[in-house]
Amino acid sequence: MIMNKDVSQSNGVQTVKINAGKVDNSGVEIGLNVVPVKTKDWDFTLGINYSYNQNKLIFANETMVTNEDKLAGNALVVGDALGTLYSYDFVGLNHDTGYPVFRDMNGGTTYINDDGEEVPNYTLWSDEVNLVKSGVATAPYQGGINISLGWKGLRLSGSFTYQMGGYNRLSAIYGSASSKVYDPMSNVTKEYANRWRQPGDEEHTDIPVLYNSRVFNSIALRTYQTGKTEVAGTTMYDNSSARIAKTDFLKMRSLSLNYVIPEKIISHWGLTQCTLTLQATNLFTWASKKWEGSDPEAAFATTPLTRSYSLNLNITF
Amino acid sequence: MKAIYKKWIVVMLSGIVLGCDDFLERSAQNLIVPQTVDHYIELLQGDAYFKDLYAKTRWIQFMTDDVEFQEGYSRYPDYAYLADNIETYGDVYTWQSEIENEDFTDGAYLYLYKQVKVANICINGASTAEGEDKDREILLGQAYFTRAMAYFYLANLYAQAYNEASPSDPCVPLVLEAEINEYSYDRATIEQIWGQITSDIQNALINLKDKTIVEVYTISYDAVLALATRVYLFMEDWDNAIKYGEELLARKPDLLDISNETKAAPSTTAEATISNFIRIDNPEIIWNFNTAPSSSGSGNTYYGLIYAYGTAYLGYWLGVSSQSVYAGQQTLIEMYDADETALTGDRRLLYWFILPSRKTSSTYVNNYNTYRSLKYDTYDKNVLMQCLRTGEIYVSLAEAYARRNEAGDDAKAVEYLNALRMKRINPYTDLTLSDFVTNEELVQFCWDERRRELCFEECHRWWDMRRQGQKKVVHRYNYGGTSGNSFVTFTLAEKDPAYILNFPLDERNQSPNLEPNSRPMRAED
Repeated sequence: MIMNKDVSQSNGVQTVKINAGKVDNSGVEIGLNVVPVKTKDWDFTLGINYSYNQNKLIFANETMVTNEDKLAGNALVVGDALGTLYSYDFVGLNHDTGYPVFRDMNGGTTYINDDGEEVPNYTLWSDEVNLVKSGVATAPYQGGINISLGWKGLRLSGSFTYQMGGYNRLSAIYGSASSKVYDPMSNVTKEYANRWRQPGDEEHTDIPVLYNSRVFNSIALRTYQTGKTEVAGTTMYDNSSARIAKTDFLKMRSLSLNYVIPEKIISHWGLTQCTLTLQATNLFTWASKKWEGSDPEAAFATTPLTRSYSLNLNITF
Repeated sequence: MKAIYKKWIVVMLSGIVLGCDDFLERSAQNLIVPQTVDHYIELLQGDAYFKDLYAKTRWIQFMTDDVEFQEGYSRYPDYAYLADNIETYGDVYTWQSEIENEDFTDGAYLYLYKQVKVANICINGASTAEGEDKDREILLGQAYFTRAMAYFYLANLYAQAYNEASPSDPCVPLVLEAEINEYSYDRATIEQIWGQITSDIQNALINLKDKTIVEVYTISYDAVLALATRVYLFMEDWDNAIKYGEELLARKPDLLDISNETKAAPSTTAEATISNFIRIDNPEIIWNFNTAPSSSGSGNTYYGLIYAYGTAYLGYWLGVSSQSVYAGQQTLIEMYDADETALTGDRRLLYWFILPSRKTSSTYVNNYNTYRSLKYDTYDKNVLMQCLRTGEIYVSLAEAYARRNEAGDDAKAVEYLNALRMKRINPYTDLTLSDFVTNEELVQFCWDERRRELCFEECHRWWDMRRQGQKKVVHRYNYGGTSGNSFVTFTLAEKDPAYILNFPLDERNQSPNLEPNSRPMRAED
């Protein structure tokens, strides 16, 4: 495990690579190949691959851990697994406004503003942010399944992959701290169809109201204080516990049907071998509904996995 | 066949993963540990050799009196084309206590220490490297030269000038080891750093003596002599400056004769930026160490803000000083005695600059009323950017003789001035001793000649201002925006603490033991 460490520029370099710490790594990997049936006409093969791996940081050379590192999942926290994601502590949408509210490090969900009013934590100073663990980005359980069923010249084979136990952030709703309203010319996520529209909606949705920039600025900004940095509510929401989903999935990677045309037929045509293959890839993905069809393995990709079909004729003379 | 198989095949691939140290031990294919002298020479040439020095230090120019705030003929209303060097270098230009800002970071410190580090690696590794002794000596000589030159730069940017400091004053950290350390370095003293510079120069001279190096791109014995002349001049060790300068001129007296040259009025941007002096066939060049950047268009704006024709005809930028802002401050252009209409007199003005009088109607080239330096080309990557050259040696020798001021020395100083000036001026007449009433006048003339000769090369003007009394400098700034003028001035006082740069902010934060230089807060006058 290698990390950069800042050193004096008098060395002629600004950073050096150092050993970041010690990781305790343990796991098991099992491969299973089963042929339960094999007769003259029939055969069936089942292959299962399973791996489990967990790790834990037991010692870190660099003790400074920033919130940015934690949010990005690359903080080195002793006792955590590598790749542990942290998120802003999302409480829920406010009943009256539909804005997301966050818990601060003291456990509070409101603060007293300059006018003495109690205001929900739509935004926080960077030094009062509360981060909660959201699981590990690298799924500990991974594996694949292969099946192959043959009958005479016909063969059906499929392959599946799966993973379990991992978490990742859903793609950002806002993208940047300043985007509170949307450019009418650009696309927005369809999750917005399910957004908060009226008081009570917070019971069944986490998607905030569509912001009006002016209203947002008047409600969800704190009065400037020297030396304080504000974390915008939009940034916090994108990186909040509300935007975390399990990456568990089972994917059908490929399914193919293969037919070897019998020799006695093709010999009339002067052929030695003729094979017809019908193949489909990425047919199905079973994953958490939260992903809305996007690929949990590539959380921020803008296009879903491409499904493809192919028909293949292979002739040997 | 009617056999029926019903069989379970179970394959356990692996249990708990165990580490296998020996098996994993392998050397990366792209990892080369230098073992031979040739490897080290490649390391020196590849990672040191000051190739980016101009990019890292050109902003030093903006603190000198050779530079002034200028406006294009057209103030672009929305500032879209506002030449960004004001935004970037405004704090440098006005000698603020912190010169770094969100657009500008001082990269010189790190860059120079990188040269030091590479030199250290070469010096420490040379004794055990495989190779012939002759090549080992060349490696050592070049590495000692590199370290001396890097420390010369560091000492003249981040510490008091040698002649203004006492030997025990703080200079810069002295790093001689090849290893990288995590601790914070302390500053060495002026005496230690300059002692290291001279000792490295002596080692370089010993190792490079009688080695045949003909390429101007390679550090040679002559290059060390040139640096030695400069270092001893800065240390006011006149005897040694004269000794090494004259040894060099005995080997290489060449000067490029520009006394018949003028720059033809350019009609295109490309023509206007053709470098006419620092070029490979100039016989003055002793060692070239900095070629222009490889990009053409972007190179223009990135490297050439102060010098080039480019987009700067709009908005504001920092350019060659030509407008007097206060009586005691001569602009660079005023220094030259030339007739800009008849194109006679000091050819350095006529040949190294595009004059405002040579405007053409072409929109982009020079439709504004300022001088542009042509010392460096910014379009052609094959054109040289920085070099050690004999012109400097002539002015250094003249100064060394004039300032030693023993019997006959003033005459020698005038002799060296004449040798240079006859290649620079037309119509030309020799200077004579009787032109100078006092020795002080002669010294001042040598300094002026140095400014004329070395403008916009390396950091010469800034260094010379630091060692020639650290005079008061005024820089003017226009806050007028799109309507009207609102000039304010900033003043660098005589012997101002800001004649010393502070260490980069990053380095100050990283190194608590590094005692910072204090630069005063500076408001407009």
